[in-house]
Amino acid sequence: MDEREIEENLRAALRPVAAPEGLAERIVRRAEARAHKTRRPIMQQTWLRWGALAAMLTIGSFGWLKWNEKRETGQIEARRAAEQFTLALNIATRKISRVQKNLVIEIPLSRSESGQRERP
Amino acid sequence: MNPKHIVGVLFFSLLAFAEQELDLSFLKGLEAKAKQSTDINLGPEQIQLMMGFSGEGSKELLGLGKSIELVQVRSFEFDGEGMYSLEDMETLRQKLKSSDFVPLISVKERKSFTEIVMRKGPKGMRGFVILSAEPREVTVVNIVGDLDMNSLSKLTGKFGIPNIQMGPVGKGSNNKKEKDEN
Repeated sequence: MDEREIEENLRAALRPVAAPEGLAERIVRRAEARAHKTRRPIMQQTWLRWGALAAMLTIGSFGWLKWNEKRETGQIEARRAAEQFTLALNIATRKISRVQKNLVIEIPLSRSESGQRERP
Repeated sequence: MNPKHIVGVLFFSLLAFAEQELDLSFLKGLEAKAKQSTDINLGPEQIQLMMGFSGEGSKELLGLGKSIELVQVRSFEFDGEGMYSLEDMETLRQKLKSSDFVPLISVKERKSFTEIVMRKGPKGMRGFVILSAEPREVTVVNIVGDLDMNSLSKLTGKFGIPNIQMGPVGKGSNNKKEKDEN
């Protein structure tokens, strides 16, 4: 094969060929579909968004219930402690009051006053 | 702060707390004999818990609770006499005659006595102890904290606490309180 023959063969192989009908549109469509699939972030997936929302609501409700339960238990314990504290003060005050009553001594202010009191 | 220092501070705080607590183990077992018994133990944890209480009159109570560190109460009421050992109470009474306490009131009768002693602290009085041994009733109250008789009297007439007059008596103030009590 001489040089000329090679050139002709090459020219024949590289001659412009008309593309099949609709090929351009198909390629564009396929490329768009692939791009759409690959570019979409995971969080934009509808099912995932609903799933995340449901999970958040479940966790939130559970957390609120737990917090409320803890708060109520805390209030009950606080009330019990307050009642015990009040009872302790009550007992202490009763004892002091009883002692105080025993200690009341009437002392006359002065001689003249006591003298006046003695007179009928 | 060095961790060793923290452990040291914690150890000494616990030691100080333990010193303030009275050993009332000799009163154990009296519940079974008593007609009515009261057993109250409020440590710093329980008092801290109480600070979360939000109810009627909580303001006054929490104001007082802020200065309290420990509350110990044992009270037993019996149907008959001689149900507890008066000697044990006497022993406790003798223990309270140490330099950490200042006697305030002491009433002694044939078969009973009542003693009120104030606990000494670095900045003044740090609470009080009440020992009351009556023929049919025995009571021990130990309150540790910056609670004095005057601050206690501020709470009287509330929460079912009887009226008492502490400190200097003002004109007519005592009479009013007595009337309230009646």
